[in-house]
Amino acid sequence: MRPPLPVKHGLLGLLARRPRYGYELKAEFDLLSGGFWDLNVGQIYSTLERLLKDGLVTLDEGDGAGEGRKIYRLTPSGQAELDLWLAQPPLKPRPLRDEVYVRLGLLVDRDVSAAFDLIETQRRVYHLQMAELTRQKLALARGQRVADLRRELLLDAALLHVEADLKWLDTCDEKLRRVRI
Amino acid sequence: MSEVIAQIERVTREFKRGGSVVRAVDGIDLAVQRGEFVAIMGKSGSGKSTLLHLMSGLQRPTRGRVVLLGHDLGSLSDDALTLLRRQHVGFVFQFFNLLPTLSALENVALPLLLSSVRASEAAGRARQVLETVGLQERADHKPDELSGGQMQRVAIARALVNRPALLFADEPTGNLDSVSSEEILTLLKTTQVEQGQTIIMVTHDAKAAAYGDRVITLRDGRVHEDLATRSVAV
Ligand SMILES: Nc1ncnc2c1ncn2[C@@H]1O[C@H](COP(=O)(O)OP(=O)(O)OP(=O)(O)O)[C@@H](O)[C@H]1O
Ligand SMILES: [Mg+2]
Repeated sequence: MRPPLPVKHGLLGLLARRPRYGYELKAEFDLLSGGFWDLNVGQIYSTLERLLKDGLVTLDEGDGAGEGRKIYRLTPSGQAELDLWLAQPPLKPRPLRDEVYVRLGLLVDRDVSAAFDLIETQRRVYHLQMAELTRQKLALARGQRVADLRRELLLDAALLHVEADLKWLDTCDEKLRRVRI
Repeated sequence: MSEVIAQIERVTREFKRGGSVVRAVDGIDLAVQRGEFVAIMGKSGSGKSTLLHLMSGLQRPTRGRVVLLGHDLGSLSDDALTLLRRQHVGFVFQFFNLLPTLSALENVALPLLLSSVRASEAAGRARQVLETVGLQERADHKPDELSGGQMQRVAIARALVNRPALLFADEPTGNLDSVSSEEILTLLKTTQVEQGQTIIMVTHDAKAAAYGDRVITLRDGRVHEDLATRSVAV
């Protein structure tokens, strides 16, 4: 099971800054998560639905018509829930759940040359991904905008994770070579 | 338009140690285009630095041909080669290699003085390049009055002051923390993008290599992988 994405608390955090229309929340959430999570509008609305039911947000009818024109507002218990969540103890390290680990694990005693091939192709993918993330980072305006800073910090996190995967492949390569006859 | 600025053909470099021979570079073919940013990776001892020294004319190959800016280096005398390097090649090293008794400005101006540029003109140009690396305020500082990242920026300014056709860098961020590394790499990338600077950089850091358009991985003195990382649309 994947750990749940903090959509609920992300939305509470956005609403803590100011009340927002439903359609705004999708765009704001994408900015907050740096576009790394492909959330659809449906997931946003179903989460808002649950927050309404739990009394963490309220809904004002806006001036226009339709779902998108309603204004969501944080309630005091929504604020309390957010504060509690932000002050939580440190998170557990995330579990290794990449498919590559499993595939490589299965290949080592089945077909070692296929394992080396997997390492090679996977390595290329990671280098290309790091180059792309770096391009995105270089394209960010070096300004004061908090949105750019957030995006940069996320890109750093993404880069460091890919780097770790790449180093792990190098380690696998080295160790597989050593046990090879 | 592509133009090959540096090319090596079947290049091998051996070192004799006692009775045995180490083949540091083993029959490599490689062509670098003008304006490219090439990253060279590989394990320790895989031949990265040796390859850089061969491509830049700092060392001569045991076998094979090196062509730099249209000159076959094998046909040049040592003096002619030194001159070619001074005029067209810039170098950045992991440990900066700045002269400790000279100020930042004097360090940057040094290559110009060696090429017999007048002192006043050399100082002017050195000041300009120091400004492009963001260190105009530190012109009078000695190396030991600068941070590691600042020293490396001075070293880059020194390497660029001649407006070299080729910039070589051997682990330029190997001795820096991650944020200073990023500044150095962004600076190198900017000179590539804005001035069309050709850069060949050795690094063991994949995050640094990701600034290149091309990542070459060496293994046992050979090219194990040569990967273009530019996005499809150029
Ligand atoms: N001057 C020399 N004399 C003898 N052997 C040498 C010399 N220079 C390099 N070598 C050998 O050649 C091989 C490649 O060395 P090189 O310095 O090019 O590796 P590298 O990839 O730059 O390694 P590192 O990441 O540790 O800097 C090594 O085995 C090294 O010991
Ligand atoms: Mg080296």
